[in-house]
Amino acid sequence: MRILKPWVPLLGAWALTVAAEPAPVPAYYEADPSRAGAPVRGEGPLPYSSRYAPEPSGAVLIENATVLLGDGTRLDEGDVLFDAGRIVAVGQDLAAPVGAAVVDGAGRWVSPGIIDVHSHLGDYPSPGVEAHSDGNEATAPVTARVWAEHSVWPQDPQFPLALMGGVTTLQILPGSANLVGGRGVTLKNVQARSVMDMKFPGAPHSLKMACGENPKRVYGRRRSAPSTRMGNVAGYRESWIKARAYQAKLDAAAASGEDLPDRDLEMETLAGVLRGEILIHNHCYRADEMLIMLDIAREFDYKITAFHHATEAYKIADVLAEEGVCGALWADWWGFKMESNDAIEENIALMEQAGACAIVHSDSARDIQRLNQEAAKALMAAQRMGLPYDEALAMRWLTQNAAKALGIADQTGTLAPGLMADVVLWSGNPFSVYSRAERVWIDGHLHYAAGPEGVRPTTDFDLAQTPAGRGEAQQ
Amino acid sequence: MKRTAQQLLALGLLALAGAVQAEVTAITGATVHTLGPAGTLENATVLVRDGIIEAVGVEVPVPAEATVLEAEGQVLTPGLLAPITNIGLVEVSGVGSTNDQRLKDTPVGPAFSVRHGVNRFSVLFGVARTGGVTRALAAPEPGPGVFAGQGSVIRLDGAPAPVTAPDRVLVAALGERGADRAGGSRARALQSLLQGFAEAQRYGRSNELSRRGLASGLSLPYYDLEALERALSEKQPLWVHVDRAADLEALLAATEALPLPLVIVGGAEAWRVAPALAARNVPVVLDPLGNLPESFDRLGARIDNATLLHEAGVRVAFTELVGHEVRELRQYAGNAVAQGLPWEVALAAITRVPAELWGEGDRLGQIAPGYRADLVLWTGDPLELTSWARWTMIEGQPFAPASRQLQLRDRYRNPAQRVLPPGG
Repeated sequence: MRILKPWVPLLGAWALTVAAEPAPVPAYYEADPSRAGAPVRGEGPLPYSSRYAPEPSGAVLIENATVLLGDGTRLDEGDVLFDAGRIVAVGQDLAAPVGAAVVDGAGRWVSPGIIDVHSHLGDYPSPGVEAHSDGNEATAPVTARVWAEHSVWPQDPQFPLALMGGVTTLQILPGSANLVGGRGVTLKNVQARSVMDMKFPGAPHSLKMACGENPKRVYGRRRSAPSTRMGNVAGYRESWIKARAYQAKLDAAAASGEDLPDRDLEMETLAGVLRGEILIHNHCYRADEMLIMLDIAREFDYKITAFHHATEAYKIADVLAEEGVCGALWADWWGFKMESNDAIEENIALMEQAGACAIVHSDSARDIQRLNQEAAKALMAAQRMGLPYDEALAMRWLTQNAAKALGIADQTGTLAPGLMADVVLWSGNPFSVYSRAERVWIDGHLHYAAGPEGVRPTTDFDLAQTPAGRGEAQQ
Repeated sequence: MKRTAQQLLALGLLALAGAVQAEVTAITGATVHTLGPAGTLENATVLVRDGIIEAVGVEVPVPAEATVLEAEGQVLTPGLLAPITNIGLVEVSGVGSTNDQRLKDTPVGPAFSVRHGVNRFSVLFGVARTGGVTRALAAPEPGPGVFAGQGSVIRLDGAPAPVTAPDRVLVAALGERGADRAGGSRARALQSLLQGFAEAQRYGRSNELSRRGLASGLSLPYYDLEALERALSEKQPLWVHVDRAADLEALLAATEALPLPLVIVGGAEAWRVAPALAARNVPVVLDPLGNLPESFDRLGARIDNATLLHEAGVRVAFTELVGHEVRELRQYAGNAVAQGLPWEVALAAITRVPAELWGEGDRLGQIAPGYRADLVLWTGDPLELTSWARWTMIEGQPFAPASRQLQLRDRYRNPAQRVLPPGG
């Protein structure tokens, strides 16, 4: 998952040293979140690293369900067994271990937990009042120094609603006002007092970048740069030039043993991208602009992991397939601005047809509750044009491909043995509008169960303010 | 001339305006949800003559001259109706010059009529038709005051004279939206609304001479007063955007003497006052997916609002205010079913009920003799997102799926080709 670049041995050696005996380390490295979980001087985890601890869980056997494994395959009348927070097996006629909770899956469907790669929950919580507007640090066009996690309000009542839609993992990104918006973070969708208790263990950070209308509008109106698309591109390039220079200083210091350069939060993030530690998630609608962004990535030798929204991805699906860049896409949003005017319902289908990595994303506290239905629309568009796609394939758009884009495909996103037991039991075919998530497990622990005796997370905000039927009909 | 729908589609005839509009069309072999007293009919025939439904039933003889559209057991519904939206008034939401739905600084309230701004060549029409939507109420968005203006019923076939029922409803906004437009208080928003009607009544009772003197002491200009006066005398439906239960209660209490029929738009917390709404026979045009507590007007929003209102005896219709998104109406209906609303009631909420609320219940929203032939043939359950519209008919003219979006799709079907094909 991590791409090791030549400078990394220094850090690796440090990690080994401190594992044995806490020792003084340069402050620069302490703040590097990609070493999540590694100990630092003194007790406790590295600052800002994941403190997520799975809830206790036992063995669960779901019997006789239609299983969509998330990797494009399907097993009818299948069983799913998980234990101690991990998937143990998917098969038929699996034996229930002693003490296992057995769940009748007849007529029901099972999938991996849904992963939303584009969310602002916690950064733009409900109610959406000005005091809660924490998603865009729109004070300068390049704010690589800010981290979305530092805005996340864990009591946002939108988190449990997303869980009731089967979402177990989500990436929170800064908004798109800036050319470089800041770091994104991947979270487990659990109730917590701190965002650090939600942070997906070991998930790399991302960097949000934005093309097109938003940055040039926000800053152009203030009569400051950028005010055009060419101004946008100059802004990205100038940032990467600085980042390359900063990285060169780090490399020189490592080689000579001299002092590290002064800490610079902006540069730490951008250099992290150049080193391959931080994944680029790039808001970009138009095909021609995406191609320019790929040129910039070539100029400065970094990788773009995914284009988000990418309503014109279908126009360059062959290029995105060849370059290995995912498209995180809506099923059918269109026409809300010029750069979304060429959106089509077949965007996801045509990406799939080209062999590119297609992901259904939400960017919406509303649609995150029904990403399965968004995928159903994309599936309809594929079938309407005669493409032979089915539910098993469409589930990849919500799980495996999303996990791949977040750098966590070795931990979640399919029902492969050994992976996290992030599992959804659906009342029926998840691509039916009438189906609902009945139970949702995260790391094998039941976090949501529908029905009168169910398990229903509640935030502080919900108490005495929002009704019981906010996410599920109360009969 | 007997042709199946496939043959017509293959010949490209369905997309050609007028070419297929035979005097008589028969849709045969359909599962027909009539939305009327006939209920659902299997293997039924619908006979259309000159754009009007002539007969519906399982034993309807097909005249020799009829063009036959064989439904092959697929599902026929009335055209979907968007009860209140901005289709035809906005082309690209973020481009202000394409937005004719709202006024910025111009002080026109109740008199603002969008009917002259409807663009029948909008690319949104093809997208809506491809999604099975045949008509809409094109409505103004609240501008500087609590009265937004007049909404008109429009047809989405792109034919001349798209407005079929001009200035059919009067639109206003209360709650947070209204407060923003009335000095900052929800209380003042409702006061402004009541004051408008009170002034219109005074104005209406005055003679020409005293009107001149009176007008200078009134808060609204003469054209707005005349619009409100007309609303009062014609009992024009008053559609009010309002979500908070407290504001709904205040509105109901304050308008008891007002002779206009009320319709609630939004109504996120309407379930809390369902009995009062039922008692006054006030319908709610709501968004069944609007369960987020995204403002202090909507803290009580819940996913089963429609079910609770229906069970209390309140008529519900489903809305999408954004014209680009009206094809999502069937998703909203499907989700309402998933949350307990009977399937037939959910389908009615996007067909028959909007027609009734527009005062067009005797000609739109049902598949019954005498009704406009607005029909959609679906590949399966119309509320399932994996179904799609085979064709959409408006006043007898069938449209195959066709839109700028589908032209883009076909242009990029083979993404590896370097040279783009010519346009459609």
